[in-house]
Amino acid sequence: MKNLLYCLLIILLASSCEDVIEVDLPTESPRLSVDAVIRMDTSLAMTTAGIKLNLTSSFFDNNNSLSDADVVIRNLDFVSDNPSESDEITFEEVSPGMYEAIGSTSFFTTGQLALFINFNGEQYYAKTRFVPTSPIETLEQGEQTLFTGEETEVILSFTDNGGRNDFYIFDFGFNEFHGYRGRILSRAAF
Amino acid sequence: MFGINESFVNTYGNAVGNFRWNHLFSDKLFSNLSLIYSDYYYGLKLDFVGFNWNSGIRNFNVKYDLKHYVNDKLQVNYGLNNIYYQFNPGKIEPSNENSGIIEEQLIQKYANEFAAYLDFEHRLTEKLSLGYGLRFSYFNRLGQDELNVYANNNPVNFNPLLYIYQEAEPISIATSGRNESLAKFTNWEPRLSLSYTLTDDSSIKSSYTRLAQYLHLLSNTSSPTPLDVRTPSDAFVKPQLLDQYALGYFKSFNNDDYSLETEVFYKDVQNRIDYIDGANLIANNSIEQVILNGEARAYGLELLFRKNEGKFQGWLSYTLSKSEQRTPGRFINGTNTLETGINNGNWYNTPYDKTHDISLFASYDLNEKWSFNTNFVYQTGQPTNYPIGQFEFQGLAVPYYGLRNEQRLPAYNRLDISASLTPRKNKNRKIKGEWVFSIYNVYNKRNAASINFRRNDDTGANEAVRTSIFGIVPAVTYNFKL
Repeated sequence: MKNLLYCLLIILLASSCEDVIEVDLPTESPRLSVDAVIRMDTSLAMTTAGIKLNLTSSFFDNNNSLSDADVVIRNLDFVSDNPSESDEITFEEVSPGMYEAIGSTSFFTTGQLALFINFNGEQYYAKTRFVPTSPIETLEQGEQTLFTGEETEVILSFTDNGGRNDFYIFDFGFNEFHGYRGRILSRAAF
Repeated sequence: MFGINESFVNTYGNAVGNFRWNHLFSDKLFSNLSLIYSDYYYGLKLDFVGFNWNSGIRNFNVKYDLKHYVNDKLQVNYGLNNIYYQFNPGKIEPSNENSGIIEEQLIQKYANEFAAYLDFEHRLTEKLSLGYGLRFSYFNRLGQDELNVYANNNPVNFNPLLYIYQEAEPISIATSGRNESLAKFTNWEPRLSLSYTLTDDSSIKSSYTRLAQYLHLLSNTSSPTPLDVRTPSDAFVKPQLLDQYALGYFKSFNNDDYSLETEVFYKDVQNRIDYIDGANLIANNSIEQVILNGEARAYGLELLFRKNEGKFQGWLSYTLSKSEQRTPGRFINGTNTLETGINNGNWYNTPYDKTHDISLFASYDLNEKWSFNTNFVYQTGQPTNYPIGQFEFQGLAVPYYGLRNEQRLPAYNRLDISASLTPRKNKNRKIKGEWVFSIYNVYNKRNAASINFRRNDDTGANEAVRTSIFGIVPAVTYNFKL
């Protein structure tokens, strides 16, 4: 609801005049930025995880990538019978800024994961846990439109887990994201 | 009402009922009793999403004011005032069966403000006039259905690892009846003003005022939005207390052909709130989780020079001022270390700071038919926040920001001109009319109402986009009176 209210305010503003202008922006020295969103397909036994490291740049310049970082993920609650299996996975740089590693899916989905990065003499640390989602149950194209008549309606349904407070984001590709916050036990359809 | 076909409808309005009783006790004592009911309503209907949104403020006001002309040197004003407020921050309900919206009522708030005042306007001597008075105000924030209770009474936590402020989870929810009190505030508000005639054509004035402000406007955007709400003071959002000092000098030249007014002022505000980074105020029942307390001050110099006589008249005004605030961090639990606060506890611009404000108005009466005037305005740009860098996340370029209110929009300036034509035949007509030909914003300056940053859909490069509202606007107006 809140997102739509924001969209509406933007639509109202867009009806006045907009033009692109030159602006002098302040700058600061680059910082490390880590994109460690790992998408899991729980039906596969092994997962290739990718982590992107970048340096920040000023708003109008292009992003700088970097090299020579050490990236490791450790599973803090790791339990295994096999002594050759480690509680740590080290990531290898496959291209500038892009680090990959292969691990078993259960390594990533069970227990707490800690990410350690060593770059430029500084150490970085983060902690997280796997968050499962609900599968999409039905998906079909609808016939309604919104304002201009050229919009496409997509009707999908899934069951929200009423016991948890979940937030959903719908990735339709092409960088089109829409959010929905699940708070009810019954199904909801857009 | 404002709408785009039936899918988006915006209704707003104010219903007011007013009962007044004037009574003259004698030819020196005059009284006025008013009973006022006001219902401000704001509604939004978005059919394609499937909801109706209502919000509003109702108040019931009883005032009794008396004016007492004791003699030709002394006038005494006194009275009582009581306002009962009911705030509806918002109610959302589904507008049709297929809507995915659940009905929700944001917690309604209630408050009562009582005031009594006594004020003297006293002409002490030929040259010296004084005004002095005292106002007593008592604000009672009344109970409501739900109110969060926090550990250590602390609704906002500072995370020393991430260096950010976060909302604290309430430990329980308290319910209180409408007659119970959540917070009470009493304030004395004295005021004193003095005016002294130096010579026949010059005088000085000075004044001191203290004011208590119990209602707060919650808005963290640079421009007002329809979803800004007003909230009454409570234990976490204390009333703002203002002390204002002013000193002014007035001089007229050439028998009032020209006049000059200057004034300096200084204001001190306690309990000014500001928002933590990322505060979301829309439909937020617990504002206390996203605000920090601080103080504000403003000071400046105002000049006004006028030409009051002749065919060519006008005025020039200039204000040089500074409006800033400070939101220091609190001490981190059990240590001597301070949290960061906002901008590290240093003074920073309020969103309304305007360093220079110049306004020039000139008019020229050519003859009985034609007169011309022009208007020029220049103001320092409003404080704003520009991104100081960007990083890439999930294929998106995400801007990030630095210290609050450090940058400014470009300076606002505008020139308007107009010409008025009063036909000679007017004198003999019953309906007297006049034509006005005007051009607003003659040199078509696109003054930025806001500047936003985005990625260009076609080129993929980042760009700054200025939103401006009016360019050049020519107009023809016909005024008439009967």
